[in-house]
Amino acid sequence: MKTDKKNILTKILLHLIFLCIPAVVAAAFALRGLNEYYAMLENNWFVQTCFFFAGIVTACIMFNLRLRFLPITIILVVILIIIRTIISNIELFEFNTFFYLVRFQVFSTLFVTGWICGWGFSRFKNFAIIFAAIIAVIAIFITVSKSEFSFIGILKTFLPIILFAFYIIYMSSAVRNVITFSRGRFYTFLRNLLGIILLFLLMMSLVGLLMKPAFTEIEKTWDNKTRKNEYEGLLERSSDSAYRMKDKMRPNPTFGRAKDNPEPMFVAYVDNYLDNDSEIPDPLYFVSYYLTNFDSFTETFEKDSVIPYNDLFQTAPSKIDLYFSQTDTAIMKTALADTLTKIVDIDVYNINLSPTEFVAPLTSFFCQPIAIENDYKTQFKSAYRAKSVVSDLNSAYFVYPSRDELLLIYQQQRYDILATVENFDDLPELFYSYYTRLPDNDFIDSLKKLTSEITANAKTPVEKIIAIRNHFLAVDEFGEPVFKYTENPGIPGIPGASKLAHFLFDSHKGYCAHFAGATLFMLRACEIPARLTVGFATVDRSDKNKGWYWFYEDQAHAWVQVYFPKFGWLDFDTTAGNDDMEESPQPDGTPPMQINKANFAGTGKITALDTVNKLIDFALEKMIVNDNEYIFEKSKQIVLDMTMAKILRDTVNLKFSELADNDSGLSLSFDETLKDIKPAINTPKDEVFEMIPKPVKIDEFRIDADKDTEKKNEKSDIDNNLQKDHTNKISIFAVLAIVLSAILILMMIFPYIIFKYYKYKSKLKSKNVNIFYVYKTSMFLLNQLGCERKNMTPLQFASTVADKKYETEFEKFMIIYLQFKYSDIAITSDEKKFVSKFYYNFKNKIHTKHSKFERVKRFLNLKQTLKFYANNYGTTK
Amino acid sequence: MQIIMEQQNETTKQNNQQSQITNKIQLLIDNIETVIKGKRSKIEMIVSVLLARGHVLLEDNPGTGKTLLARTLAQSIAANNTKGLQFKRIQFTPDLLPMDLIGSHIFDDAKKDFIFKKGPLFCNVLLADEINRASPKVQSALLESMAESQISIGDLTYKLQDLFFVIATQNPIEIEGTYPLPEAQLDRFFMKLSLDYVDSETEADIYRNYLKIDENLHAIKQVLSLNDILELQTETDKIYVHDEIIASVRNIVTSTRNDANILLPCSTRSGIIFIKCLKAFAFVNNRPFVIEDDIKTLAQPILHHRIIFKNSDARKKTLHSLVDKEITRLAKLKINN
Repeated sequence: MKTDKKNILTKILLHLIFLCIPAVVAAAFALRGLNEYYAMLENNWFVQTCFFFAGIVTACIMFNLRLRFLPITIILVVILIIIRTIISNIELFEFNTFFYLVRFQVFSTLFVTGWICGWGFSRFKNFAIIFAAIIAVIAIFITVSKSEFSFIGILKTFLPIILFAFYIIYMSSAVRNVITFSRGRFYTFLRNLLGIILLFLLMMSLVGLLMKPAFTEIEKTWDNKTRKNEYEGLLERSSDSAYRMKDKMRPNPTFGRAKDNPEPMFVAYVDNYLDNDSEIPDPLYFVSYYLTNFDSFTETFEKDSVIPYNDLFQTAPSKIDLYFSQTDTAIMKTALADTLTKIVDIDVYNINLSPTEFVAPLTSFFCQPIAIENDYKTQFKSAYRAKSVVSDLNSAYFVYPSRDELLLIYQQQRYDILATVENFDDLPELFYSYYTRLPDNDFIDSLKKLTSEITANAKTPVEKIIAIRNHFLAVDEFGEPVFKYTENPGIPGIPGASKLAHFLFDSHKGYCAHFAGATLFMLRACEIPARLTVGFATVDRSDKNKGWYWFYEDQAHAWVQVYFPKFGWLDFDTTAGNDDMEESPQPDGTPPMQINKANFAGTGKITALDTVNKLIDFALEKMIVNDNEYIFEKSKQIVLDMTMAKILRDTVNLKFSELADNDSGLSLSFDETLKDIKPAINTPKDEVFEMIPKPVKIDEFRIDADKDTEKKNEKSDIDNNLQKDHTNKISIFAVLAIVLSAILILMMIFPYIIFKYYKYKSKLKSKNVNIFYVYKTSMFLLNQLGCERKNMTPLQFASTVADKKYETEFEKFMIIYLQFKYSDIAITSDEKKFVSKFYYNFKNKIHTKHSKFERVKRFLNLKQTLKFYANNYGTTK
Repeated sequence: MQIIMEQQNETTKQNNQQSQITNKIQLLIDNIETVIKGKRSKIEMIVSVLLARGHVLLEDNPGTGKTLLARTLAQSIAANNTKGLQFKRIQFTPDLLPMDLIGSHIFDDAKKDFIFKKGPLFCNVLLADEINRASPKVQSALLESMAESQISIGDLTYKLQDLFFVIATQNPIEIEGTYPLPEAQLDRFFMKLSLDYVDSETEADIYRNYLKIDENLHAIKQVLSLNDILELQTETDKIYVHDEIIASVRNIVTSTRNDANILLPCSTRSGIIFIKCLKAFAFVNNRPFVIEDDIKTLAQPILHHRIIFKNSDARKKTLHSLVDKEITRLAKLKINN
């Protein structure tokens, strides 16, 4: 019975250590992964693992003690149900009850799962396979739910899983076999285990190293595929989930913006009304890029790196300091427009666009990031103001027929004005040829034919334009439009055939890229300068908030701009009615109506503080007065009145007392009195400075975090990020290699460590030689050199093997040792002397037989060491 | 210093005594070796049984020298009935009756009364040749007397000699015309030895000198007296047995009880016998203490015939592995005296 008990104990321990704990680790791994995708309300994988652990351990112990499964599990379930009812009946606050109930349910689910696992491990031989399979399925599930595929990611998920599967399957059968637990078997078992793990790690690292190029290749194609599938539209989504406008466009068989629930991109206020004073807002399309380059082979419209007379204002709002501005007045010149233009103010509140993305109606030349009111901070990421030179003739209403009388009048007026343009003779040669060039192929030839047919009766450019528009808006005899808007235009039957030709001549079905592309070539065929533009179509839904426009993902658009001498570029959209776009997917929200327009902004350093009057002396380095920027080489002292000021560091409100000398920051004033300071453009900055009433009443003061270090940090962050991936990949292999080699080295020197330990314990140099350890040392040495005791008794071994081989006095020593060990006779001093001298003679004799090299080689053999501790060599005959 | 000197003196004295006694044992073994060649280890074991007050069973094929060995041993301790040591030999046959062993009541004409005529059992050394050829009745009569050291007939109980040593020989069971001894009976023998064939050189040597075998047998002299043997037997009891050795014996005996391959395990009596034999064997080997080698050497002859194994494979391996396990335990054991 005693041995039985011992057996059960070892069995339980074996199960716990070698099966349950690894299973719990695997479960933790799985739970962690699952927690990322399922909000189990707690999201605390560690605690959940503990629940599972509790379950598996109790079950393992209970079922190893040969308790019955069914009754105990029934009892457990009953207890759980009782506790659950008790909890639900306790009248805590309503929410608390619910909270605890859910927590308890999570607990009981995991506990029971653990329980079943524990039962399986202790009762069924093949349960490990099932368990490993379940874990693997979970791993696959986790990997699939991740949107990003990467070699390292897959390796990280599956390597431990495969390793675990190997381990658990092997181990469960091994544990089962070692029920009659003997130490010899245990060592072989450990050895096999270690071998398998090492082999597997080696294999995996080899596979990793060899297959990595292939994997990265696959990774790339995956990446491309997923991108293509997800963002085939005009927008692309970067890893930080912000949207950017693509600088490429091609008519694809499908257009990827058909989302049920398009996200809002930004909100803009355009201070543009028809006839200046009228109440009718005049929406303007928002431009991102001009795609002036055309690759006729892939039919891709691209951004040209060098555009003559480039009037695109490109800037990144997030890179400009708050309230400071970037202006490019050269754009006004290259826009080649001087008649009927005005400057329009635009406020853009960014929701999902990338903060570096700048969109504004043509032809913008000014960008000023502005702060967002606190109330709107959660809704909008950033905001900027922009100014554009806009032609009076430009409008989103350029083509669409309208029922509004005022609009009709406006359109007629505009038509009349544009009709005055008869030719493009006065244009610069470079400009004209650049914007009228056409690729040379069959498609263009047939397009030219079509165009000349359409515009046969038109004389002036505007007539031709209207004719082209009418072609696209034409209605057949049943009142159905000939050209239809669709997001799945399909591909032409002949592979490699032009999609634009297919659209224009055959299918008449396409989306904006088709319409715009065809229109562009038709216009150019009429020798009218035109270009393709991508950006956002503006749809006026601003019944309540006049002038405010909301832009959604599906409003990303491509259209054509036409050039009229003196009047400049005008938007010209021929895309047939896309009704979806007109309908807002969700009601437009409230725009941030308060537009903070800082009349004075200045950056500098605080030089002195007057806490009583709340005044600060400020060394002004740069200031903006009513949108004019002045930079002082030598900082100017100015007194700021901070009584009304809101002091901010990042988004945190500070008290005045928290300000300190040498704090640098940005002071803003919305003071109305400052509005009247309107210096002429050429006024020297010192004079402007004198014009400011002092002290300046400051409304907002923003303290900078140390800018320089911040930038450095940013930079190093970026560098780090770039390197991180790289180092990550390297470091995994490096760590693997180091761990492997450390294990190997440790394994190799392990025998020697043991030998040294025995030698140390035998106290050979002292007077009190420990005879037992002398015996152990000698036996270990012999064993390591290939002279095993096997099933012989030590005395037999000494006389028949050791002494014969090495001519030592091992037998004599052994007799003394045995006498010391088994008899009551004390060892005489002579014998002691012999023992203390014995080892050195013994060692020398052995060393003569084995060279140093051989000894070192044999001492690296861990297998031999394990033999020393083995219990049974198999039966002797 | 004095104390140490005295101690040393004592030990040397002891050693002297010891060597005198062990000399006698060596004398006996050497004496037997003059006739039986190449079987020293077996002879040592038989002598150990003698010293342990036990009986021995020799089992082997015919012609391996069982009877010769038994006779030689018997003669070297009890030659020619001199010095009061009696040697008897019984050839067991199927028609042998128990009476032929223990003796019978005979009517004495002169005394007009039945007198008990002692059978051959009333001797010091008995060679029971081919014990398995006799009927079970006879076998049990012999074995009973071996166990009890006395013989009961009717109301009367006759005590056997102080020194009563049975050397039984038997042919392997498979050979025809035999009555196999039940395992329970075999238990009475301390050891069951098989002599095995000698190695080739010894074999040749024996052939060369076959003429001398008989000569030597007749020339065998008694080297030990009855008193010598009794003295040796008491000396044997004084051999020191370490607790760990006892533990090992116990472990071996109990492990036979937990082994799935063993149907009939060892009894406690076999453990006692084991200890007795260990002491004697150590003594024979001129050692005042028992070491693990003794266990390894004696485990087979002492225990093997007491165990019923599940199959022939187990018969070959099980006991060995059990003993090897204990030997390894002992070899690694750290004992600090």
